[in-house]
Amino acid sequence: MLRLVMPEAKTLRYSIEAISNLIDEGSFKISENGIYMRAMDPSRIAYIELQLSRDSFETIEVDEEVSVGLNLGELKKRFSAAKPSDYVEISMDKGFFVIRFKGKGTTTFKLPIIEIEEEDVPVPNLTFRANAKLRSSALKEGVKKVGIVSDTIKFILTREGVSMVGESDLGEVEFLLERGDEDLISLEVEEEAKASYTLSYIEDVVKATAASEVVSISLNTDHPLRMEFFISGDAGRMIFLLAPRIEQ
Amino acid sequence: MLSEIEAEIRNCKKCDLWKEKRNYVPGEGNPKAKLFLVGEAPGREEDLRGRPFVGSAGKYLTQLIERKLGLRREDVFITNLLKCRPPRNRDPTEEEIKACSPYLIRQLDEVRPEVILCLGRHSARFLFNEMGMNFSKISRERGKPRRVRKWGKEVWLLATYHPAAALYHPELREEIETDFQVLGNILRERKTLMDFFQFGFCT
Repeated sequence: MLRLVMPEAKTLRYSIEAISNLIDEGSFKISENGIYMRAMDPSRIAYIELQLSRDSFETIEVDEEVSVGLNLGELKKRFSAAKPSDYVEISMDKGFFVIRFKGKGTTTFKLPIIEIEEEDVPVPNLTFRANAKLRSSALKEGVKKVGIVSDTIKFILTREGVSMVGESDLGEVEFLLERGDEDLISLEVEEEAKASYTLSYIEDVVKATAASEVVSISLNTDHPLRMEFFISGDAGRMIFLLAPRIEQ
Repeated sequence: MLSEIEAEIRNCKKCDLWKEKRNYVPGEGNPKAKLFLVGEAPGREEDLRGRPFVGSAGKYLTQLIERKLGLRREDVFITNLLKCRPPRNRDPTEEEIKACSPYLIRQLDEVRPEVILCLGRHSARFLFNEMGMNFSKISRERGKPRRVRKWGKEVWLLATYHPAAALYHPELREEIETDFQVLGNILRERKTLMDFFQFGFCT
């Protein structure tokens, strides 16, 4: 028996959209505690982890934990067909992952479950000395503005605020959230930090901001970036790590 | 020495392709290249000139190397799985690959690159298998860099479509260029998350 119900499709829709841009196939662990998945992109530049606790669901009925391998590109297409406000029900039927949307009528998709080679994914164990919590919409705005000028984004966390900076032959751009800005919820900086990252990875993952109101950003100089998107309050989270871009 | 391998190739009669070819095409480039590109086999223009990737597909490949990677053609090493042109550019046979591929392996052993780019399904299948990995089809395997242990170091192996495919199927251009973008990221960003993680594995 496996049946999960969410009152709105948007959480899964936008989370899957963000993940599917980084990895092609994913293995979801589904249990009475919720849905969990973690993976690294093939180039080992990015790591992503999705946790949707049982509080994310209206109903959760799972006899035993199962691992469900799915093609994420195909899963994304199915969820793109749903309206964010659609009611969504998930079940399994003879090798198929069954997704039912109820909105205008009832749509039932059956997606083949695929076998995925279990890969050793290291458990990230990083500590950060600069942390900021901001509204996800502000992160999205900063990423968008840096993208006008550059394909690289530099994050700078100081005691005064959070900067996102882009530089290229086309010029420079800085998006600044100063301490006290209502979009900057908290800022804890033991040691100021700055590091550059490939923008395209971040552009992919900020698509999750549609399912998240708050994101925390953690940084050490020239070390991986950690972003944690809080989904539906504290019921779910998506953790994203990205290797820094260090020019040789 | 690469020059010794090249000399052997120029006298090779291990399969029948030598009979119909005009020139052997051993490959060329920087003997200390970080990036090693492997195509399928010489085409008409390559056969005439004795150099790899000098026809229309080669022109496109050179553009990709320069524009997407910011490198010059002479910075990289370019060769093919087969060193002689198969008649009418037909697919290489298993026998031909078996006979010719030891040259490629030896060239790789000499150059010891950090990144190997397979251009097309034939070189990708051969090199994936050679590195102990399964290969299903190019549309599924392309654009996903793999870390392999080789020559006492970590090496990247990546596959994309053969540049000639883009000439006949322009819709593949975008995918090839995306793969070169990934390749550019690898070449520029030598650090991956694995360089920072405390290793504790779980599946």
